[in-house]
Amino acid sequence: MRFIGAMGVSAGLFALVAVTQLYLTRDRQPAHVPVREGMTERAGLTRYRLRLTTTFDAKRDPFALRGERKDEEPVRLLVRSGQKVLLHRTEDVRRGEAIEIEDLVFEGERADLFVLATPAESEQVRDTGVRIALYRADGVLCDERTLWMEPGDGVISRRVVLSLRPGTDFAERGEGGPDA
Amino acid sequence: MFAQPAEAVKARRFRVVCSTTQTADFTRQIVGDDWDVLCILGPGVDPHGYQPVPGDSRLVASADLCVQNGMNLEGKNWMATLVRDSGNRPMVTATEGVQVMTMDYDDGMVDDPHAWFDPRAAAVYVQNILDGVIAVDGVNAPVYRARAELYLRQLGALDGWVQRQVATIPVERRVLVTSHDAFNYYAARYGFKVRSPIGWSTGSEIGGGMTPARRRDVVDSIRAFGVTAMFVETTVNPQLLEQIAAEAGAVLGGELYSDAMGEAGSAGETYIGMMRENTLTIVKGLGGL
Repeated sequence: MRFIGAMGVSAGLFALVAVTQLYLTRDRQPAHVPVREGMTERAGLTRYRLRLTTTFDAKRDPFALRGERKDEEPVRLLVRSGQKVLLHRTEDVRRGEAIEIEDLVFEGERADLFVLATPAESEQVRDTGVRIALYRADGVLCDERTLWMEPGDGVISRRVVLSLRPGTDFAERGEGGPDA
Repeated sequence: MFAQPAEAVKARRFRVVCSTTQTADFTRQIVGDDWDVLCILGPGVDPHGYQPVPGDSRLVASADLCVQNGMNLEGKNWMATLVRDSGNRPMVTATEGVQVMTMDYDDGMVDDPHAWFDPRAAAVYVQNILDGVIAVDGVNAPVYRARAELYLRQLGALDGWVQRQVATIPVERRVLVTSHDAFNYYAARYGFKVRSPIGWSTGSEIGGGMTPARRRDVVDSIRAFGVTAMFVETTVNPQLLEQIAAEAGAVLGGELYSDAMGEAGSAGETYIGMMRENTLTIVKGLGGL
């Protein structure tokens, strides 16, 4: 009988501790952070997808430095985040072709990218640009920009800063120098 | 291919000997102040008819690397001969791999060696020279590559700039008449028609083989094509072209750098400066800007 009583008291104590813990945990969770379906709570683990679409045929740039190997094709479309190369495409790119880079992870609130694209010479008489759209893995559009080639440049070689949070607009967004 | 022992790489400055002023300038853009860059031809000297002197052989024999234009710009292949006679020093032919144009020569067709007038071909020169430099001094390859990459970007910017300048010339005036046909690559790149009123050849000045009948043909063709301005070259005697321009009712639009660049201190001292000055002279002479 005493044994059953002791078990009952212990169970009661465990239940009290559990309820207290649940209560405390609920109080610490910030009320203003929405928890979205399919989104990992830690921002660093959120996966993103980058879509690039060119308004031009991208071909070999005659002024690109050849790779260290003589037979190495110069790059047509390059995307870098810091020193990390996200895309290094050496095949020609057709106008309007959507190129997607998946399973990307960024830290902080923005994706700081460097984009290089080499329009074919026949394309340089018209406005040439690269449309860049950043999506969360669940398909929500975070940010998008178009990088236009400056007259006489021959290539698009620009830094672009995209917001990782949908609907966020900040002063630095999309502007920057020639390299990241 | 041209590898040096590691201790030799550290011990001394390298020396590169170039045949023409253009190849010397491209080389200088890559090696910077790290190497001694020497050029056999001086500013304003015609490479087609150059006769090597004994000092040239000694210079080539002392080189770690030699650079020539190739495609017989160096008349009778004098640079290749110097290199061969000096114990086959390592040599880069800068035009290797360019999109070659052909030209009339002695009732036949030959490769046109004046490829540097198209900046895309100049980019090929730079790549070839870079490969040669790295083959000699691979230790400093990242530095040479960094310099070359920046310079190639400058060539790209130059190319775009020339296109914008030429676009200001009325289309019907884009006819380029010069002392000798060195400007085929430039004309093809930027949309000029080239007129060679007497059908001259590489190395021949406009006066070569001129008869009264041919002279009449020249004057008539210049009038027929509506040429408003003609251009003399820094390496060619302008006298005959001046007379023909006067007879045809055209004017001399100015002097162009052609087979050699300008004196130190002049605007044509570098390749980019030479191309810029030529373009401004042509555009102004033909009614652009």
